[in-house]
Amino acid sequence: MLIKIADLIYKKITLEGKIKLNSEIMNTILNDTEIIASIEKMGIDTEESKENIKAALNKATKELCSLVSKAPAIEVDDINLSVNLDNQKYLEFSNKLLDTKTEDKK
Amino acid sequence: MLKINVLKYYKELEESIYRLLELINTIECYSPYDQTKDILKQILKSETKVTSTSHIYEVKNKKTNIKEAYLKAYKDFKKNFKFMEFHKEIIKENEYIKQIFKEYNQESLLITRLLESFFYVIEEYEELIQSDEDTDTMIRFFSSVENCIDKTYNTSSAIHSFLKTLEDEESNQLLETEEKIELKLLNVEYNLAEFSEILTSINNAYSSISILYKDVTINNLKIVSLESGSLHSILIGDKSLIDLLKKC
Repeated sequence: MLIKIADLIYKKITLEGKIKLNSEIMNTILNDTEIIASIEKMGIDTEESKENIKAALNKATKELCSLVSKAPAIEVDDINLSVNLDNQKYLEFSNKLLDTKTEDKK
Repeated sequence: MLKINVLKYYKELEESIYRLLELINTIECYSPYDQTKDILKQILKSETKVTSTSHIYEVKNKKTNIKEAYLKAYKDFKKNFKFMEFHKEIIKENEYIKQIFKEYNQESLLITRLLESFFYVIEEYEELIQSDEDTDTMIRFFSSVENCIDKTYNTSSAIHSFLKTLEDEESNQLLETEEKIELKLLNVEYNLAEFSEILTSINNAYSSISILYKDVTINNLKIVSLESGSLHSILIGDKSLIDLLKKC
C-alpha cells in the first residue's frame, strides 16, 4: 500500500501540481486487485467482510497518505519514490499550473 | 563460538578496557603534558642551530628554565600518582583478560597489543624513577602514556562498535511469522511533534489493517531501529500485514 500510495501522491504532484484527493486514492486502493489478493492470502473472505475491509483500508490509506505527504521522497526497503524534481516548480505556485517560462515573459 | 558467547566475550573485554581506560586517565590527570607542550612551544620559538650531527636549541628568554619546569611538573605528578596501585591493577586486568581468552578459547591481537602498551608505560616509569633529573626519560614516559591512551580509546571504540553491530543483528532477528520494513522519509527535517506524528501514522495504519484478523491476536508493531534527522526506521510486525503495508 505504502509504495502504491507514494507513487499516486508523488506522480499527481508532478503531473498536476496538487496532491490527489484522499478519496480518489482510497478508491484506487480499494479496487486494487493486488491488494485484494493479498488480503485473501491472509485467509480473509473478501466477499463476506467487504465492509470491514473497506473501513480498514480507508483508515490505513488515510494514515499512509498523511505520512507520505510529509516528505518529498521516501524509501521503502530499497525502493525509492520521490516527487519528480524537474517538475517541482509547479509546487511553488500552489494549485496554479504555471511554468517558469511563462513567468519570465511577464 | 556460538553467537551468544561472542557477545559475552566482547562484553567482558569491553568492561576490562573501560577499567584500563580509567586507570590510564589517572595519569593523564596529573600529567605535565600540557606544560610539556608549552615548553616545546618555547623551544620552537627559540633560535635553532644545526650542526652536522644534531640540532641545538637555544632559548632566547633566559628567564625560562626548561629543565626546572620539567622537574617541577614531574615532582607534582610523582606526588599524586600512585604507581604501585596502578601497577597492581594492570597486572590484575592482564590476568583477567588472559582468563577470558582461555575461557572462550579466543585471543585478540588488538587487546594483546594494548596490554603491551600498558606494560611499556610501567617500564618507562621504572626507568624514570631511577633518573629523576633526566628530561629525555621524562618526555619518553609521557609520550608512552599518550600512546597508551590513544590505543585504549581506539580499542575501546572498535570493540564498542563491533558489539553494537552484533546487538543490532540480534535485535533484527525475525520470527517466522514476522516481517521487517525499512522506511526512510528523505529531504526533510522534523521536530519532535512531527516525528512522533509520523510514527503514530505508521502504527495507526498497521493497527487498522490488523483488525481484519478478527479472532487472532496480532503482535504490535515493534521499532527495532530509529534515527532522527529526517526519519529512518526499521519496524517489525506480522508478516502478512507488513507485506500488505509495503509491497502492494
